[in-house]
Amino acid sequence: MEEKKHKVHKVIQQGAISGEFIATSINKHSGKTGIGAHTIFLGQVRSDKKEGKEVVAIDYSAYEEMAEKEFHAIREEAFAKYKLTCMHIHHSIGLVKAGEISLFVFVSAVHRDEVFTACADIVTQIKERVPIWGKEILEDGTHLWKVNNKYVDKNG
Amino acid sequence: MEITVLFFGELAEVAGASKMAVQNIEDTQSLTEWMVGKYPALKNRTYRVAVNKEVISGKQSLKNGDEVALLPPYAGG
Repeated sequence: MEEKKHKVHKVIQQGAISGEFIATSINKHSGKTGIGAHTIFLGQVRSDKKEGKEVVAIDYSAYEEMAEKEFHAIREEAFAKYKLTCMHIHHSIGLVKAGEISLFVFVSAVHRDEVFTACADIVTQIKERVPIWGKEILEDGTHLWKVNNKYVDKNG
Repeated sequence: MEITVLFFGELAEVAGASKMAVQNIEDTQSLTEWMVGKYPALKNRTYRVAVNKEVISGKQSLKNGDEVALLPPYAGG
């Protein structure tokens, strides 16, 4: 799997990530019999109550070139830090309804300890470093901007 | 010299545009000061500044063709 580590994979895809897409991705690993453990993280759009109104969807947008660059850097760092066999990240852009999946992180290794730690770390890095924005669409058609809780203003 | 300024998320709403060309601005600090003058609502916003897709801290000088992006709080995941 060495040659795959430096390939740039496109992470951003239009719309929600389907269960079929995830299942296909899992099935693709059946030939990689050196793997003993997979961890999958799925980020789902939550129907929060904001100002008394329900969030019905999130409209994601991104600074795409920078986002892909950051995803690639996160991937490379994770390969350097953990003993992983392979790793896949997929993130939605555009409208994703409440209950649908917007983030799919799939980490595989020989043993389980490595994948649990790596997967949690990768998700944290994505939330902190990747320039993606989410417009929360409320039930009455108005919107609010979602903010991840660990955002740090580096210029302040 | 000309630089391109990109606005994302909520800041694109504040500026009423997602992209703009700006002439003769020496560094990122002068740029953000000029932006706040043009769009006073930016003053109370939190954002990072990226130059050519790298987040910077503090002040950085700008050259012709640079792409400066104003990045409000991220919401990926």
